[in-house]
Amino acid sequence: MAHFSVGCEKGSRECVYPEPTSNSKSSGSKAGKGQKADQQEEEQESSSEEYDDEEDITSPVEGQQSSAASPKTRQSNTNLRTATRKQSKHSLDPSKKGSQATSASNKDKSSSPPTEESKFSKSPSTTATLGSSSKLSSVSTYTSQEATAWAHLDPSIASLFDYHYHSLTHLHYFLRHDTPRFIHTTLLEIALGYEPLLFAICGFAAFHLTIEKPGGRVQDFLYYYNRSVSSLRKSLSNGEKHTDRTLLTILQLAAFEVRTRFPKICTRGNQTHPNSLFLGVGIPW
Amino acid sequence: MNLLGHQKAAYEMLTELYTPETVTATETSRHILGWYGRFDLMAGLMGGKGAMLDRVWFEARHQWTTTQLHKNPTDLDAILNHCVTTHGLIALDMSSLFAQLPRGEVSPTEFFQQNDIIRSRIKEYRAQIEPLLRRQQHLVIFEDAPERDPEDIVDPYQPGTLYCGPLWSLNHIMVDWYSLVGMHTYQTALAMQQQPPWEKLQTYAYEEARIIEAMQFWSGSPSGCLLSVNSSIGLIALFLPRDEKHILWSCQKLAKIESMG
Repeated sequence: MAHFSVGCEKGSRECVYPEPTSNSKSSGSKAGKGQKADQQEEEQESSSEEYDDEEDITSPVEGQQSSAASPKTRQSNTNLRTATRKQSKHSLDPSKKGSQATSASNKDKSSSPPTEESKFSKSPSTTATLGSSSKLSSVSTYTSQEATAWAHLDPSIASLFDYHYHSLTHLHYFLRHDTPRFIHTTLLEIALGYEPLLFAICGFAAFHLTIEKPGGRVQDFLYYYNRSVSSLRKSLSNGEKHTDRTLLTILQLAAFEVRTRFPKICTRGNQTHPNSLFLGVGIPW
Repeated sequence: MNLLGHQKAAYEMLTELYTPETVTATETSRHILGWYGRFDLMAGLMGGKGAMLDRVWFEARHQWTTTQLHKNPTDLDAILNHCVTTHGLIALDMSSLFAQLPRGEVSPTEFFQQNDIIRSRIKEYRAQIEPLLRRQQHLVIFEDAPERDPEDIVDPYQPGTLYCGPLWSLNHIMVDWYSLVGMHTYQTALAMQQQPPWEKLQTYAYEEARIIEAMQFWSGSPSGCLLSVNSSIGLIALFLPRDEKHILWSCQKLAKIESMG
């Protein structure tokens, strides 16, 4: 099977990307890994066998396993393919929205917005500027266009896209400034037409949801993460041409790695990573 | 999944698809560059093998943001993006220079010459940020916030601390600037085998701590903001007084962030 070779070797074994997820022990750094990360790896190995059928993208949430998995799969796949055609008509770019948009960044093209806007109060202008659950002042309030963009997908996937759109920001990706709201717009648009990226975003969103909600299930985000890796492997081994979306998928998968490891390294500081102080410089980008 | 594997795979693919000359051509490619650039630095530091991307790529993005700023000098996004790439280049050069000295890759004379240049660049960068800091219409005025703990090492509600709306990213830019100037001051003293100027470093640390705590306590702060400043806590802890109160503050902040997963 052809793999995307990265040209490194681990002993006598060639390093290939992405690494097989089943029956493989992670070769990542063991330093600084907590019990939670080890537990995740064990569950990753077992869950990858459980979801071996790459055609079945039925929701992993209990009680939502469809008895008509195949038809739903076909419908979901069709919806993924047609979603991009619909997307050409419904841009997710907040700056292109109509009167419902209340993006503060659009309003502040001039240099003197109203002073009331900045007060931490319950004034309507502040509420409108802050938007809904995203709390990122410069992101538009949620409109029905976004709901249309992925509403027809599998409900589990659609809800994760909703969550990503409303509750995650570029700060979860450790980015410093995000214009024009790439992770809420273009990234999701591309993902709607490319399964590996779609699943990677679902995994990232599911991870954060797992932390946020009491009793969140580790299996959920591992399911999507593994589906993304499997789907990416399939694309790469089929000789799919490398494009932006392939690279974005790798970055999205890597974001998960960074998200889970980086905070622990910052917390544990110098002992495991002498250079960790330089991380404090931020090196923003 | 191996972090280094991601780093190498992404690097290979980026350099296959683009050159520094073409990578800023589209919105998607620019975001890819920004995203990979940050990941590359972080993965390089975490994995201990350094960044893979050459400086020329960072320059390309900075050149793009500079061009955009010239075209749209009053556009806040253009201004903020330019700040971010300015900082990125200074931080990259500073990290490289400090790494070269112990490896003997630069002579002491050369080191101090280069270091002086970096000091000037940090100062110029701060001057570049100043006009943004004067935009008081974007300042958060705390109302109905939790009462300030009298034992707190900083006052997060001090007027002029936190910016909102389209200037939210300025808060992160300021946190990073204090980290940058603090790190530079500290490492320079070490390189000169002198005692670090702890009083000055503490000033930087307190400013940074104040902004971070304001972020934490303001209900309008965007989701994920504390994660994003996590890496600065270590530096703050290094510079703050080593007494129980200050150590506790840092531990509490790290615990808060670690509870986020």
